[in-house]
Amino acid sequence: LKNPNPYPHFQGHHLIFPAIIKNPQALWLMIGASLAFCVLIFFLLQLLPGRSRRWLIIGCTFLAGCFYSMEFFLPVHQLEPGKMGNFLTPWVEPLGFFVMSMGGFAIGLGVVNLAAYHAKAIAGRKQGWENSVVFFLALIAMIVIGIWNVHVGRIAQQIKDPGVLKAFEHHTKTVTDGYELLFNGMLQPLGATMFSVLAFFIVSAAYRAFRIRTLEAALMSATAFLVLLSMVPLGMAITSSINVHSGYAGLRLENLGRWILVVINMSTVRAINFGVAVGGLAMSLRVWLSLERGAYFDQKV
Amino acid sequence: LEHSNTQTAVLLGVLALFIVFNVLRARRGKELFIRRIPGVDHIDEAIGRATEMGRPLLFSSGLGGLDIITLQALEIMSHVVRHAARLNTRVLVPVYGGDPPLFPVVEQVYREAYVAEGKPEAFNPDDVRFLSGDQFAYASGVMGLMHREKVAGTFLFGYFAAESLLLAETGQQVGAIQLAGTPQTDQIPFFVAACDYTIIGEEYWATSAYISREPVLLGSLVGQDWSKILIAIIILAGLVLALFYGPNNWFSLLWKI
Repeated sequence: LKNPNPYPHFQGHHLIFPAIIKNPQALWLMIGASLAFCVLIFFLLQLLPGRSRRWLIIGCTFLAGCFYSMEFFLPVHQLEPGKMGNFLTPWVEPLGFFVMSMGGFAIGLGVVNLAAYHAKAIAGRKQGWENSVVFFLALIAMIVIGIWNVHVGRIAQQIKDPGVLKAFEHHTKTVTDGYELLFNGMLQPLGATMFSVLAFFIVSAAYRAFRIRTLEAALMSATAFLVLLSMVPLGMAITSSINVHSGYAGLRLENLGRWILVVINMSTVRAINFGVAVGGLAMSLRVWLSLERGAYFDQKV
Repeated sequence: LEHSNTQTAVLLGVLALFIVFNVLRARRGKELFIRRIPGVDHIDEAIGRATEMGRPLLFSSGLGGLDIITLQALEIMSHVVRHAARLNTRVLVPVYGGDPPLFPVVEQVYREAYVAEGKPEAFNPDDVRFLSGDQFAYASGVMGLMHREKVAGTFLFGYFAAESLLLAETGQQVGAIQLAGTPQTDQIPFFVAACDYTIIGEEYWATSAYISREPVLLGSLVGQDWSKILIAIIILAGLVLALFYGPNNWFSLLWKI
């Protein structure tokens, strides 16, 4: 190994999460510990006065930021074949699951918001209240069929006998067909339809963008025309008389178009990306070190 | 790059130092200058126009989850909502459902903006709407909202993908004044084509500093400028070194001629 393990006493800890998954007791222990931690933080946030609550949030944010920074900056060694990392790397995935499961609690809030809005629309017979009825029907149908389909799939996986499996699939055909109809027959085509609308919107947007009103607009239109022409056979045919091996090959439309994209366009995009990356770094630092004032926890609402 | 190497660590350390140093400098009261950002000046114009027309505004933070791009969008949203609350104008905020924890955060920032303006009773929970976590379902939800509510102005700040043009063109159709900003370079051309004012690239991060004049944000912005100057110097130094000492360098090629 080029880079020996600087933390020999942590060797083997990268297997900690799979070990927990395989051991049901450890898994329940971890779930319980996560829940206890969440409840503790929740009650602390409720009980503490504003100033102390602020410090609790600052502390948690700083610790979480420290974990990911240290994981990125600390020296790495080989954890297992094809996987480099340090003693914190094995904890990245479990922590990600922990954050994801906390996020799961929030989905209820979103559904409550939607349900409250549409219930009010139905109760008050607001304009378009029929759509709210459709919302409730769709929500219930999707939840029931979706969960049922997953459940049926899990049972089918456990059936070893092909005959029994065939009979089981026959009996649960309604569920799988319903799933097919709702997700693949309705949701996906609706999404594809929305995406296809984009083609028409591009035309109308391009029409406005390429109207020559200023020098900049004229330059942009000319460049766009050149690039478009360089990508179609007609454009390539126009300058096909220039020998590809001659010193003037760069003047062939396909080469000119590529040069505009790879040199002029690419350098500009990279310059913008540098600015964006540095801006992102500054924002991350402000959040990590809680340098923002009044953001989210300064005022009691 | 999953883990840093020495060069990355040193460079990131220096850039972080620049930013923190300038934030602290600004906090101590140092006057800092930032240039004008034309698009941002029109945020207040859009709010004023909506007030005159008696129609609501719409703010979308796109498809981003609870990440730094969306947090920046929320800072801008907070300013927009505060200004609109002052003028008794509604701001509709459709929230992308792909990252559920975003919804309570957006609602809280929205509510705080009303409280900060001394109008907590004017806060309407229905104006912050939880929409689908599916990209095009979200887009159709926002487009429907624009048409139904006949919004007078739209603010599209955050992470956007293919739906950027769908939203911006719908805003055009309903005659809304539109401001957009995203760090996604792929989506900037669509916003430029369809919106009245577009905040490009790094200006996205500067927007909240420009509108709030908060010392921490101004200091951070100056720190970013120092960082970009350092990166430019490194690129120029690399260019010169490559020209003179790199393989097939320009200098040796010149002598060969």
